[in-house]
Amino acid sequence: MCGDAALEVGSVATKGAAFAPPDPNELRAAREITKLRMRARTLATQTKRAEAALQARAAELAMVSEVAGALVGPLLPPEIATAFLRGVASVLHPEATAMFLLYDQDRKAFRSIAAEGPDAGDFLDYSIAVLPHELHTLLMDQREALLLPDTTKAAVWPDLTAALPTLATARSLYVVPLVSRDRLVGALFIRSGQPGALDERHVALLRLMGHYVAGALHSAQSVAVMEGANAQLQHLSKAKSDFASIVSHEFRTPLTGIQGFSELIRDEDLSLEEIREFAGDINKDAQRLNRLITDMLDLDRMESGRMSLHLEEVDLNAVITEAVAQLSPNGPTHPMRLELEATMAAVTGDRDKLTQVVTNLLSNAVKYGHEGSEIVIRGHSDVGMAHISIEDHGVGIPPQALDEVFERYARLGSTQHIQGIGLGLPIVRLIADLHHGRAWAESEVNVGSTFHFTVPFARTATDASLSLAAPSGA
Amino acid sequence: MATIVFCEDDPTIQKLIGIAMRSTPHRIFIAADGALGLEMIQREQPDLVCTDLSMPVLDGFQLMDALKAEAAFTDVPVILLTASAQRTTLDEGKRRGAVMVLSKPIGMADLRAQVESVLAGLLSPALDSQ
Repeated sequence: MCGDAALEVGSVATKGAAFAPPDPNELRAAREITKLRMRARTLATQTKRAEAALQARAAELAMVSEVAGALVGPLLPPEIATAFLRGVASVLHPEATAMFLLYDQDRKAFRSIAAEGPDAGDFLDYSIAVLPHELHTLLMDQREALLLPDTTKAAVWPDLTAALPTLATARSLYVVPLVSRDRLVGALFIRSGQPGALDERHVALLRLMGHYVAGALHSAQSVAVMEGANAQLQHLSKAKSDFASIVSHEFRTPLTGIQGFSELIRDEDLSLEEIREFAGDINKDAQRLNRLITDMLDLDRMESGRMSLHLEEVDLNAVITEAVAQLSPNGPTHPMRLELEATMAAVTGDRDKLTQVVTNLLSNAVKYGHEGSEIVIRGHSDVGMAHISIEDHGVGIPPQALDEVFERYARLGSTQHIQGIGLGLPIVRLIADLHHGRAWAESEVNVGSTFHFTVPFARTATDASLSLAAPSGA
Repeated sequence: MATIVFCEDDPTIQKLIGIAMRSTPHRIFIAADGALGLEMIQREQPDLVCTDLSMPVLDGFQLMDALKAEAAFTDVPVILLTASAQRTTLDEGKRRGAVMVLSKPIGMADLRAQVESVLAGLLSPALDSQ
């Protein structure tokens, strides 16, 4: 309507033009109107732009506040990463996927701990062991971001995807390092099937937020490390005090014998024979105390690496036969059967220490074997090793305690009912270790236990002559 | 004369108890662990049980629990003998109903005296549980 009217006015004016000049006031007014219209249009455009920019700023601020809010309070690294990614997602192209990779200093690898976006599922168990060279230089050395708004135009893309095939479908990729206290804590990876998934304006913002997130992660990790160390110290402290109480327990039993028998000798009218017998009992308990002290000192020396072995070629069959003969008078109720491979080669070892291993295992078998039950000692050659086992038929050891019985401080809980300080087994294991062998146990409760140890064979005479012959032959 | 069952796994201390108690008028039985002790108690119906704490098969606490569970033995007084010096163990012994908790090493004259005091307490209601 309005246009038609204008046309009519115009045609009247045109018609009139031949007869009368246009009114200059009208012309001026028309020009002003046009100018005002254009200005209004520009203003509207500017307003729209400003509105959009404000909305973008508001979104960024919302993201900052969301991430910052999420970082307050004690969080675990995956929670921190997820909170960060939720914030990041708000400024991303909806088709983009963001993932948070943590850098493991020990394994020198990146491991994904959180992912957000349509392809998040692909990156939940994602890890990168070796970074492609370009990325390594950027991230690890320069701590700079990698920005590929269009991967088809990126010269590094073929090399990158060869190393990281999971990323091959990306049309845009952004990698932002997360640095705290000059340490690379991890990296933010943003990948999209569309080019330009991220407004480059946001990269600076992500770096800044990444900085705070990295700091929070660093703190969370430090707290976790400290809590771990603290728990370990508490465990150790408890184990030590328990050990002290076990040790005192073990000392008190022979002391009861010494105190009791000496009291009897002092206070009662005894025959000379009885006095001799009780003196023998006192002597036995004194020896038991002495063995305890020696064992404790031995363990200490072995654990601190101050025990040296006097190495020689040792015939284990002879060591076993002697140990059995030594023990037999004390364990007459346990018949001992020897099944030893007669041709077993000599081992390289410390004769006294290996004797101690056999003696400790035998006296355990006597102690825990049912009265009158047989003890079987076997010895045979394994690959490069002599393998000795000692089998008893007695109370046995519950499965959960099979390894514990070899631990000096761990002989608690489940093994508490098994009396004896149990320094014997930790000593057995340490001596086996020192010989580059092994010590372990198999057992069934109320059936019995079999203790095993291995010691490497000495290099045979043939080996020795070969190695001697080699230089002259060459 | 009273019947007393001792439970003790250490052979030296078993022998010591046997000798120390032979000068008393009581019937003495010694078991090598808690389970054998329980059988012996069921058979001998003792007036007093004196048990070590740390023993194979059935320890002193488990033995006391087993006695508590059998109506015939709920009232049999138990002296607990332990080489543990931990306060918690001593308290636990009391909590489980031991009339007396004795710490090793203990002199045999002392053990005899304590046994007599518990037996005397059985006659008089004023039992001093140490």
